[in-house]
Amino acid sequence: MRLIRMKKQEFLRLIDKVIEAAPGTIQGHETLADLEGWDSLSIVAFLAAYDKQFGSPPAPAALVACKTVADLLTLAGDRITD
Amino acid sequence: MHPLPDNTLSVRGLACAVPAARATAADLAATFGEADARRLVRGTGVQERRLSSHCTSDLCLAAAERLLAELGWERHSISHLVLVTQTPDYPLPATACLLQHRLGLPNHCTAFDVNLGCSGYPYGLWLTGRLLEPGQRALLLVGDTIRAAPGDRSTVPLFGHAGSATALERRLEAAAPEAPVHFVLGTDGGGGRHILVEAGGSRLPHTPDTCQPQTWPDGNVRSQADLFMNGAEVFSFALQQVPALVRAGLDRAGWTQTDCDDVVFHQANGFMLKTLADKLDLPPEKVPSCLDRFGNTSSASIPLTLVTCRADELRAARRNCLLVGFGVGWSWAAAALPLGPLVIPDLIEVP
Repeated sequence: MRLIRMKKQEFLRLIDKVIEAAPGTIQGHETLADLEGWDSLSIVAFLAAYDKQFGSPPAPAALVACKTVADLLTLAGDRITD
Repeated sequence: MHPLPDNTLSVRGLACAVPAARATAADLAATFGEADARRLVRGTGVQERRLSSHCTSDLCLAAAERLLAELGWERHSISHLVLVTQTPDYPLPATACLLQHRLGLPNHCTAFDVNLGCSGYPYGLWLTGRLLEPGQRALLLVGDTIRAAPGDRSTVPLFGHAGSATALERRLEAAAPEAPVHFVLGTDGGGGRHILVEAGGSRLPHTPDTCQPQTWPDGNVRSQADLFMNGAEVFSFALQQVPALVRAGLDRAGWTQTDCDDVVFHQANGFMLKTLADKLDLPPEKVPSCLDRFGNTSSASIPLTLVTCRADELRAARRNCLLVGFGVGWSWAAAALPLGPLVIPDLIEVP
């Protein structure tokens, strides 16, 4: 099955949307615990957005273990391009 | 599992009962603060829930009494009583046995409990249908009264109480043909730990420690005797399992989405229902929901949605309905069936 890809900046905008922040808020270096909108509800919203974008959800345990935005980028792996 | 179509199973009536007492966003604000309460209401889609100290059996009893009266069914004509619940009156005896007595059903009536939650309504229709011989009648009682730990923001804003009663009959083979009922059912117990009450059974009996509230890594406060729900795992399971379940149900019935009047999902939470409808390209008018008014009522959520969102239509005429339950277990079931005209009493509020 062909891997669906996304540019890094688009992925960061997707996170903006999930936490209901203004576009451009997330730069890529943030710690998730420091983000006002990042909680159990936004984790579920991220799952849905990721599934819609890439066609399948990430492993929930791996997502919950993410501490930083960089971890989320790592989670998406080869799907993210520069 | 894809059982053969059931050609002679008929649903004749449906009733639901909820507690009269309401829990609102103001109650959430008292525990979690105004800002969190607003966010929880927005995130779950639940504006209000019905909660009380009633047992599930009390709600199901009220629904069954009203339904039998409006159907005009004699109690001695009931051959089977099936109760689907995860909140029985006691660990033993089976609550269905107590309900057989409270309802005044005959001693030749079979009665037993089934421990299923979110998938319980379509599962119960399938199972009860398997019990019925030609000409026999059954009552399927389905409901739950889940009591979340007061400090657990993953469950408190979501769960409400409700009970239901459904009257089923198996037509004689010689009777006029009606459209068959199709079922799709399945299980993956590998997901059992993601919606769990850990303490209180044989694996981990109650002790003073298991009843002691503690703060867990997810930040919520609950004891091992309280309901735990891993929201991310539940959501991921639903995203992967439910679209295939809906497609299988439609395929089994030979329906296109146009042929199907209503896709009635277990009312898990508002965001999940919207995501599933979007993923399946289902228009909102085909996906009735009462979640905003009653919350997630576990096994009762599908009949409660039918009674509160489609009563007038189902009293008047036949509708092609796909009933889709999924969750705790993991367990899932879909029933594609013609419903109506049905006897449906107005929603019963139990003081």
